[in-house]
Amino acid sequence: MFFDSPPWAYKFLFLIAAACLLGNTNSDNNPIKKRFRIEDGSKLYLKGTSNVNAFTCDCQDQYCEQTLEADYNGGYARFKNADLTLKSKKFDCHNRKIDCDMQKALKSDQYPLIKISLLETSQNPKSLNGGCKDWFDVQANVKITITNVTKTESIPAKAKVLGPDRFLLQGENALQMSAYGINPPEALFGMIKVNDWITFHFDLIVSIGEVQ
Amino acid sequence: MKKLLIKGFAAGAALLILSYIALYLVVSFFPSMAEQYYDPIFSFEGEKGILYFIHPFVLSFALAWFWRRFKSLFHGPFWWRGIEMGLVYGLIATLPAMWITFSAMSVSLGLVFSWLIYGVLQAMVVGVIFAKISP
Repeated sequence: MFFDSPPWAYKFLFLIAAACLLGNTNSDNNPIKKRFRIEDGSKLYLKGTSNVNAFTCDCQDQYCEQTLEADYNGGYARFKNADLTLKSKKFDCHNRKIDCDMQKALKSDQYPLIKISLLETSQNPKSLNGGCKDWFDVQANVKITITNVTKTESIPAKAKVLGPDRFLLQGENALQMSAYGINPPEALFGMIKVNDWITFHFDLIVSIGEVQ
Repeated sequence: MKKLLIKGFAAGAALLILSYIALYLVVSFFPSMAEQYYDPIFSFEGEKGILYFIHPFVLSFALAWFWRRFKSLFHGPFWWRGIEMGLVYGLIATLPAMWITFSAMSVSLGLVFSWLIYGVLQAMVVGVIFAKISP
């Protein structure tokens, strides 16, 4: 069931949103710093399946304001030190058995933290000028470390400008548990098996502020 | 004594195979019922898991004693004597146990009913085996 993990996905989406917002606020190649916050009402959840059912795990992580630094050029942004760590126990699959199996699959006792490093993002710079009220695409490359296994993922998303300081960010991405050294959980003597691929979905409202 | 051991192990082995077949059928044809086993009240992992596999032999040896004590009460062809013993076991043992289980535990009626059917089926299989090899 598990899969790794949605909590990091949330954080990582936070970084994507940051990239969008940075793109909207920086016009030279100097690193800039901005504060970003994921507002209440945002949602991130995982969807997985087994050979008997489907399940959803909601991310219960807390989202604090965060300061990021980036070099921005047109629709392309490169990030430095944009590393996030989060606890691998922040799942609510609405079933204590699934929660337990997920933490076991993530080896949360041995590897309590998941690390996400945002490397770069790209989007159409014209979409960030404020005149576009429609959805536009955002592509991000991130380095994810789970259970001491690190892989680079390319994550697609779509964004929409809600106002001068607010974005809506939506999307989904499939992850393969075994690629991160995670064995998909099994139950009932192996008769019930969770599928190796899971999908995380996100629907985030992100606001931006100046660093004080 | 030797015959009791043979009966017990033979019927236990048959029940062990039956248990795997039953699990497979539930997962394949009744996935919503199988999903109910993904609950903290069920624990099939760790050292306790071995108890599940020992259960067929516990039941077969218990029924071996029952058969030796009461087989003279069952009449007719061997297959009918076995079925009748299964029904008797279901009535006096499984039904009351499932009744109290449903009344006291958070499990669905469908799941409890499946246990009732499975318990009776187990006893029928054992009864037929005993009636054949120890009439």
